[in-house]
Amino acid sequence: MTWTTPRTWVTNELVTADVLNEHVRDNLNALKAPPTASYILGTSYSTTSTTYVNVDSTNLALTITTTGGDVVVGFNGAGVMAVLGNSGYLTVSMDNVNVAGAYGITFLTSSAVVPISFAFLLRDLSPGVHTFRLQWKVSGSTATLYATGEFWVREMS
Amino acid sequence: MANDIVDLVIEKESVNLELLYQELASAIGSGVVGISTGAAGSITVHVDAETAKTQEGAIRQVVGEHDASEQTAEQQQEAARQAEIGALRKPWEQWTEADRLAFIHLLAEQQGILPLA
Repeated sequence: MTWTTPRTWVTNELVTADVLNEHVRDNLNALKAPPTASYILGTSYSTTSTTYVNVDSTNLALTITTTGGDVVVGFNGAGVMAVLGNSGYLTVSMDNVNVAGAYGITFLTSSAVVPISFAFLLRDLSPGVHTFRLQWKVSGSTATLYATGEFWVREMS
Repeated sequence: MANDIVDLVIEKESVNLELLYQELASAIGSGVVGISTGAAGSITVHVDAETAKTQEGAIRQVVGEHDASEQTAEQQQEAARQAEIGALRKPWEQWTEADRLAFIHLLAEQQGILPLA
């Protein structure tokens, strides 16, 4: 549903069904169903990469068309490091640019399976098509994400 | 960033990721930045663009010859550490002084106070 910048009404103007539908009905519908994409993990993933790489270039790559504003991207799942003393780092690339720094959005250090999740706010995105890819790397050893959880993105404003 | 890396998808049913990464690093060098798995039956070898152009054949050969049943030295150490932890899973009344010392040592390693053995 397309968002239209709300009009400024003026005294004595004729309010037509088309104008009301565009600025009231359609905008309320747009707020009810903002641009959203998600993927539920159906397989486990592992990596030894020491440089950020896509977790799954096909399925964990979400594309939405935004109207310009804030977007929240999130992940929840479970993971483990194969050998204690090493770290796995999760981040998101938006349009092929890492949205966080070298240490990513969150990280994994446990050699016992633990929950791992994040919700990351991206502010003032330009309107248009944006692709969000879940990425990861390790400091050493192997990181594993289990076949559980979800990667999602939603425009918030 | 991922867009500087080339992903080589290679069919391989069974893999020991860390061992294969060591084997590739030894054979190919620093152009291999890592290996990932996802869909069953294949792995992804992440390499820089130059390595992808010049070493793809060698990479596929190393992957083809890889034996997933073998372990790295670090994996053997981790298996030994897990075995130590497993041996302590018993009622407190059965713990000996040696068990208590072993537990303290494991905790200190886990907290980074002592280096991993």
